[in-house]
Amino acid sequence: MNDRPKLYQLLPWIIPGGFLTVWFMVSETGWIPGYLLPHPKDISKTGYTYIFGLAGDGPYAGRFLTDATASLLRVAMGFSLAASVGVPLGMFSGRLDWVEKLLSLSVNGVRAVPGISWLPLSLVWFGIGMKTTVFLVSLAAFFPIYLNAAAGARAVSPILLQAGAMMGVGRIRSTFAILIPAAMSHLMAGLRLGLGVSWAYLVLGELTGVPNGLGAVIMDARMSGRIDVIIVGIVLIALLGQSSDYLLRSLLRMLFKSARRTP
Amino acid sequence: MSTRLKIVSVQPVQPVAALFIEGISIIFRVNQTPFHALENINFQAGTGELICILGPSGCGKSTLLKILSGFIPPSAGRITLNGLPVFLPGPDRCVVFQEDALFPWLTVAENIAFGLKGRGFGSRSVRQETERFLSLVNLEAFRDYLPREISGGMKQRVALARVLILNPKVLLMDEPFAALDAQTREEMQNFLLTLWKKLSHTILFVTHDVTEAVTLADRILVMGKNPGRICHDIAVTLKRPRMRESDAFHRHCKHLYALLRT
Repeated sequence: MNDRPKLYQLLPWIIPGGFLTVWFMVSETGWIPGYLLPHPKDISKTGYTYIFGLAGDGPYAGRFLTDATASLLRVAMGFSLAASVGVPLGMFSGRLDWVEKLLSLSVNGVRAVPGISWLPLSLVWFGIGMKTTVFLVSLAAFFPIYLNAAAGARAVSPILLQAGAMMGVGRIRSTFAILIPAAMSHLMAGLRLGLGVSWAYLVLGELTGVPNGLGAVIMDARMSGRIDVIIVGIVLIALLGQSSDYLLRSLLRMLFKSARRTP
Repeated sequence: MSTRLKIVSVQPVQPVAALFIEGISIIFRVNQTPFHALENINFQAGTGELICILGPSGCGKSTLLKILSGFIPPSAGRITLNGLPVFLPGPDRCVVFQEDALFPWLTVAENIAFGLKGRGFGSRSVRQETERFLSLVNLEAFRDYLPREISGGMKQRVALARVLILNPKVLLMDEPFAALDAQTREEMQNFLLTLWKKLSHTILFVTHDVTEAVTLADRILVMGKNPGRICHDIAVTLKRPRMRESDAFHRHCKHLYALLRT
């Protein structure tokens, strides 16, 4: 990849760059008024205050760290819960017919319910805040993780497991040394999809009026008519989502040979 | 569990039968109608003997090997190895598969070491053994390559090394060279014979290739189908090393082709 020409490296930035240019033009010429879409200059100023400003200097100054920590914590908790249940359950149902038979009807039934319709119920159960958000995040992240783990475990070539058996490998080592590495590309795909969904449901959970978090800031800014803050929030969520995906991938590559060596 | 890891270079071929196969049958059910994939298979394999199981496709020769390795239980019959009954897969009967059965996420060296891990050998002795078997299959230079980065012949050499390192009593080979090109196949056959001379394992080698069987075998079991059974048990008396171009070789091949046709 790296021996491609310089221009090739710029490829991913063409769309954001072009978008930004158009945005700059429509704001500069006044085609779209500032109360609908603020000028990029104002956005960056707001972003700067939000991230680096001193708390107390303005309504949103310096809140980023608290909000991001709160949001990241919620995503991390919901996602880990989903992963720690989804991966083993998915692997079992991919390998054992009776587990698949036991679970598939219920899982698919629950999956058919849009995540957003759990919001009212979870507000009643868990109230506003941490618990509701974690509940929504883990519920939503569970399905892609579970389904991909099951598909991955099912797709493992029986020859590999037979090879293990004839070399005298027991059940437990066979699971960790053969099954999981062989299903790694599916597992990774599921976890990454799950993490993506986690961010979506984080915002949903935080829109309900929690005091902090990136979703909360967006909702709060809507009430006070600060479109610039809304956009700053969106951009930051995009950046954090991207970085967490990168982090997840790096972590898996660090921990598993199979993740490093999967083409 | 203590496996003897030393390479025994000279082991006298004992006339004692190591592997007894008695009355093996297997019946598959296809749409409710029973299908005799194998019927009443009987034979013995002596220690250090190289036996080829030759037959047309669909005669159940691979099924027979799967039964011997313990992957499928037979419907009837008994298998004993050195006096002990055989039920489950285990490292005393190692398999070299036709397809690519190496672990794609492990390097050549890691694949070879795989079977030794987790049985209480120190990491040093595992490393030593791995080195020894890497050099036995001439792959020292490729130790850190992944299976997808090496050729088909090399892959099968890794597949051989990773089971030989476990010092199996019987080596079961299921058309291991069928997917290779003609030239590599010949090289691998010669290579297998060299290894066999050094290590003198008992080998059961399934093939549909007459030339391959005549090149390798002490004995050839010719199978027929519907139901799958052993029709002929032929001793190959050609002296080793065998010349694939010699008249005697061709005579043997012709004879076998005739047997396969009937």
